[in-house]
Amino acid sequence: MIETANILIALALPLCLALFLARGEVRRFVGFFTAGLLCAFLAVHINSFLASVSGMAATEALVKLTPINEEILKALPVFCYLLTARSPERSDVAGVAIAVGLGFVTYENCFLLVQLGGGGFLLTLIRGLAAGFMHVSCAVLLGYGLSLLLNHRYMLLPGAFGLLCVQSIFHATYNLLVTASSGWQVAGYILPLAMAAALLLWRGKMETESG
Amino acid sequence: MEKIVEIAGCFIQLGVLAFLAVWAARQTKEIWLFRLMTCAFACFFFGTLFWTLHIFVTGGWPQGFNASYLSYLGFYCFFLAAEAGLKEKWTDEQRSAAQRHRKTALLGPVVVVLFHASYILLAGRPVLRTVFSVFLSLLFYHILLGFFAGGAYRRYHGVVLVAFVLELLIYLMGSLGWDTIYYIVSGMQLAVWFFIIPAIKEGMKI
Repeated sequence: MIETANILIALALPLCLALFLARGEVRRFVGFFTAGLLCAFLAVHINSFLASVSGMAATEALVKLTPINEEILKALPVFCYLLTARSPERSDVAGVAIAVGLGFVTYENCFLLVQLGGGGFLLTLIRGLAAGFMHVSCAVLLGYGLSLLLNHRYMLLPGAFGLLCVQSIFHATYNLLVTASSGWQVAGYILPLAMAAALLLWRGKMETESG
Repeated sequence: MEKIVEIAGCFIQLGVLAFLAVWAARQTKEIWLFRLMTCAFACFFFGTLFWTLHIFVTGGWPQGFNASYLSYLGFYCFFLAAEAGLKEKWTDEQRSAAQRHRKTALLGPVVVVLFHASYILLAGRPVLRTVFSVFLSLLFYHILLGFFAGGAYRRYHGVVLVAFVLELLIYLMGSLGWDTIYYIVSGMQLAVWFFIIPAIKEGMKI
């Protein structure tokens, strides 16, 4: 508990100070990045609580419970922003989701580094890249998805829930593969890269449309 | 056999998803329905992918609650979102046609509830199915309303209705453990999904 809180304090404190100094979009980014850190901190504890309550083995909980819990927590700040912001722009929603995703993966990577005690440079690099792409891809999916639904009031609620489901399944598939044997692990690390490539293509198309 | 059927299902869904995504990318206007359908089939595909990979990685079907259940919920949610969007575009004539058949459309939820009762009686797994049934009831009601609105809406909702009736049958067969019929009906549903693309095109004409 102390260790996880220490990581949070070390990462979030300078950002909280920056919140008072920054203005406009930078402030929003820093704020939601910090919210992402906080969500990851909560996720670590809620995950272990859920695993102990359900009586599942660690690997089983990692595939069945962790993805759903983490994606819900990551989506909460974005939903809060949507509820409180006055006529949010499409790009703002996507930006907020990405900031939360980045904050989340930053905390998670730091936590794993401390927990594993340095699993080697290559492992850190691969894990950082794959988990980073996975969390950010999920955040981008939610952000762009919600931004598309913004102008359609009645579609927003079912659409948001649907997007949450897509994220959770994608996350669960990633977790399933990376916790398996080595061959599947490689496939697991490739999966977020493929998703990121597909999202980049999609974004390119959207920019062409709006341009 | 089980693995072959799952892989085939995965590829067919990927095919439908790719076709929808490419189609959505090619449209110049009014593409929200294509985008929602792309998201819906992406959700469905990821669910099937998870299920198939689980069989390969662990050697068995996932037991109890798992992420692939969410694919169904997400799938229904995107279809509900599509229904909400389509309703926004109804003309007065279509709205009044649907209004006239409001009571008849309640047949949809009734059928879903009857199927749900049969799950409870035959398979004894009511809790999670109840969540599915709530979403499906809502969806069936809106699909039937859309069907009664007439015109291109009828053609779109007709295809969706057939696919979701097959979905109900798939649940029932799965719950009863009738694997052969389960796979046959699943195959029929996948075949129906191929007609969703021209159906959406029809739906978007209005």
